[in-house]
Amino acid sequence: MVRTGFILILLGFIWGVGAQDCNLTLQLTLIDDHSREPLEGATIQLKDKKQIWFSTSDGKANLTGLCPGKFVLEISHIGCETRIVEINIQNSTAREILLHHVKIELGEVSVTGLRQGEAQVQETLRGSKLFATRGMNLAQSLEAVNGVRTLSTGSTIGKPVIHGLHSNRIVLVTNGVKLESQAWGTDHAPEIDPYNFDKFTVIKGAASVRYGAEAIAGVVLAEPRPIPHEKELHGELNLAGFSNNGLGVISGLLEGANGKSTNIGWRLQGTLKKGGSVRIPGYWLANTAMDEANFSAALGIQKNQWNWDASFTYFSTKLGLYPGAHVDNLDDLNNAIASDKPLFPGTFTYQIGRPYQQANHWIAKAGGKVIWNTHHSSSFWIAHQENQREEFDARAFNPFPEMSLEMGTTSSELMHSIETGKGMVWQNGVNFSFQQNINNPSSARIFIRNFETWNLGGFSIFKMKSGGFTNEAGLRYDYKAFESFYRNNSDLIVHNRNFSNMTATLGTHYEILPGMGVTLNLASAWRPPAPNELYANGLHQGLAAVEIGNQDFKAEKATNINFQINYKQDSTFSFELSLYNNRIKDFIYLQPVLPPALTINGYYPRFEYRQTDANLAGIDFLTTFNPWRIIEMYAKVNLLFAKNMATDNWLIWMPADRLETGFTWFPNLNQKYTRPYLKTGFAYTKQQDRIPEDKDNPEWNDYAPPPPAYGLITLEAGTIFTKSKIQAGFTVYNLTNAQYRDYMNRFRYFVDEAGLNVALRLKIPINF
Amino acid sequence: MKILPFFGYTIVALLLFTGCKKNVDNPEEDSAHNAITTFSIKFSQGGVVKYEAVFDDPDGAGGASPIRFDEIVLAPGQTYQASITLTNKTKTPPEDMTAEIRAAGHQHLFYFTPSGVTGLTITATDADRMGLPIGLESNWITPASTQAGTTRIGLRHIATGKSSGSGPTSGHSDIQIDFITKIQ
Repeated sequence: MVRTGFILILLGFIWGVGAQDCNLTLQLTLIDDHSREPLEGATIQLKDKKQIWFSTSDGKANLTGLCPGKFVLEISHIGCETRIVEINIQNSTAREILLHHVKIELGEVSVTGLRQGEAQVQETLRGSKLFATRGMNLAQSLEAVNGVRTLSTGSTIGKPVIHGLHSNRIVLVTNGVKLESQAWGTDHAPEIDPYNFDKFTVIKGAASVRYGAEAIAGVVLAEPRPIPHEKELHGELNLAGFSNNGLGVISGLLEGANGKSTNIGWRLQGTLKKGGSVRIPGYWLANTAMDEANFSAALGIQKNQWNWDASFTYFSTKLGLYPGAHVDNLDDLNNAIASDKPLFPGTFTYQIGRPYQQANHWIAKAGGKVIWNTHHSSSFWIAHQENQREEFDARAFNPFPEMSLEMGTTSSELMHSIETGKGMVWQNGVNFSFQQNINNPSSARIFIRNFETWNLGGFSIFKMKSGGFTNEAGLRYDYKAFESFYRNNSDLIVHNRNFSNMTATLGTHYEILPGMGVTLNLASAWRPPAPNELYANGLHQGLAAVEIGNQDFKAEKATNINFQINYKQDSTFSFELSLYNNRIKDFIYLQPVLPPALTINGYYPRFEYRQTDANLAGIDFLTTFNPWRIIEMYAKVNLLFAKNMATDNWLIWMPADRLETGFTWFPNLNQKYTRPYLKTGFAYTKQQDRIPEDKDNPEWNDYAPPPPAYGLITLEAGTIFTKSKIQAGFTVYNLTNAQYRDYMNRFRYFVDEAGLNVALRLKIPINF
Repeated sequence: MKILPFFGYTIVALLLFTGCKKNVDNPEEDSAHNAITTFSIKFSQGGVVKYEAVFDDPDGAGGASPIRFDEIVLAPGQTYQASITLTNKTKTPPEDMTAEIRAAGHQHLFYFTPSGVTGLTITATDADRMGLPIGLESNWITPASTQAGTTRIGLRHIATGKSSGSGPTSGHSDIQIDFITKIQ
């Protein structure tokens, strides 16, 4: 294919030589707007049909022998809408063109979503695989990615866990901007509406060089689909309903463009979500309703080689917290653990009472990209985001929340990219951010101080593709100034910390055989201590724990090795084996200490933040077997060994080993249904036996031992109705209504996980 | 359409948003509204205070330990009228919380659980607007013999409202103190 492309381009070149004074070159890069992958073999025709070109495997086509002035190109590709583009050039230049994806991708229901040819271990979630997670929160959706698990607080609050790490150790990038919120809290779910995005990429392993500090465990990139460029008004309506808690979601989208040579495209999107009390086997849980309202607006303008974009995203949620999990002291906690039934059973309701949390977040972003010529392009953006979080505990004494924090962050990036041809890309960039955090009046003691942070970083990444190899090397330097403000007995206490760090990455991917590749990546990352780790001094509301920070903590530094071997034989057999080791120096963790803290409300376990050296090693494995192309079998294994090196003890709160297996049946129905499938899976989660053991003080290991192993059966079906293009899906979670608890859920001390849950999903395209 | 000015304005608008949050470097004093840091129980006979026991943890549920934690020492074979006072010392000046608890009496219940002090009888003598006991005021009848043990004095906060069946495990705990108790 590549060769034919070259020959035809050559032919095109020869044809073009005819016009003597026409010697300009236009380099096009053609990209699929659905997958964002370069399009090979696209046909580019001059409107007068005299010349024809084809794109190569990197999506590029060099249109040579062009005359200055305006001309019209017709670009077509299998599976994409043919696009007519008017171009006006005076000099040799380059353009990026998106082609609108219309074909329904058949391969997407398969379990793997591994991105090939990247020198970093990463996996994407999109298409039908993403559709099958719609309606769930971000963390639950990302569990479809191998090696990603969830840290939960009940069944409505979830945080993604990559290779055992979460919260501040993962960077979430939405539409190019790092999400800045109170990520330190284990019960603070990311303020992201998954419906706003149609592609999630999980980079597993340290990725500080490109994404800055804190990317110790990995990065989640949430990307909306590109702004449209065709003159049409297009909409989409998403509906989802869940039986367990009467959760309903309606999410709509409307987009359009003027389709002119100065293209102006726009999109409006919004989601409403409302859920009632959660049902566990035998009981309704009191006060577990939730609601969410989100919207976003985006605008894109393309003129010549300039691409401008602006967007505004708003997220807001109110989450009821089960009062039985909001314990007041050690006695309360022990009573709750000892009880075999929920101490606060409820009835089904959509009402939310105390305790509850309320979070609002908005992000405004403006940026642009310019392709200067075939070698140089630049991109830049500036964004501001505001996060507001209020937490109310069970006491209704006064209208004040127990915690009320406001965080504002302005961040920006400027990047220059040089493509030397022959598959070499060199990216250089700078990042800047300024963040302020403020406590609004609350009824409890201040847990997180007011602070201001300045951050400046510069990076350089070099990528090279040649002869089956993809190599990547990168270097970054960051400087971060942190200043906190606190008032105690009218004395103002100002505390400054400065951090600076160098990080590096080195990776390679090699295609050994057609279909078989290996990836090896070595990366470093760092993370400054979070404000709670520095200054916590007192009761962590609702957690029945007194936490003590240390304002002299050093930054965590991680060195990460990832190795992956993957093989794919047609669509009949594939496997993917990833091995990783993450060594973290000065890893910050909570250590239980004696004696427990005595307060007027009884005893609380006392925890101190400590630093140690930690080592996290693990395996992710996935294999699929589809011998007759009708039934695809799959098996997944996740293992993790997380150690505190100083004490030679296991680290607490790490996901237990999990094994999952199942099969997908692709029946041959009539043409009315596109790719119908029926899938069933069984996931077995082991009892976590890698837990810290303090032989001298066994009572301080954990409040309760890890819950026993459990197995869950999931049933899933889906199809696209060929004529209407309506996509429908049906999933049954916890088919047997199994009673179980998960080690990674903070509710494991109090109540069981949610029982049987039947979900229905619909995606209805609307064309005007 | 003039694109550049549009984006110029957007960026300027964004930068204006950045406009510093004025109070970041001027935080409010760290005090807890409505927190109870200090508990006092006075034992009287005929209006005369015979004994006072205090639990005092002025930083609230902070990292520091309580600065005062008395024993309850009462004479055998007596009847005392006990009265509880609650204070929030994280505020300057300290805030008396007793009236607030009394006003929200229908959501609050004190309980008294002696252990190892046989025959000590404690009965609440006050009532909320529903006629249910609160326990800020109580009657203590001490046994005739010399004894030593503990008495747990607890305050439950029952946000949904008290009922006659409410007890030491209802709602949430606001106060829970185990006083060493000596009858001598």
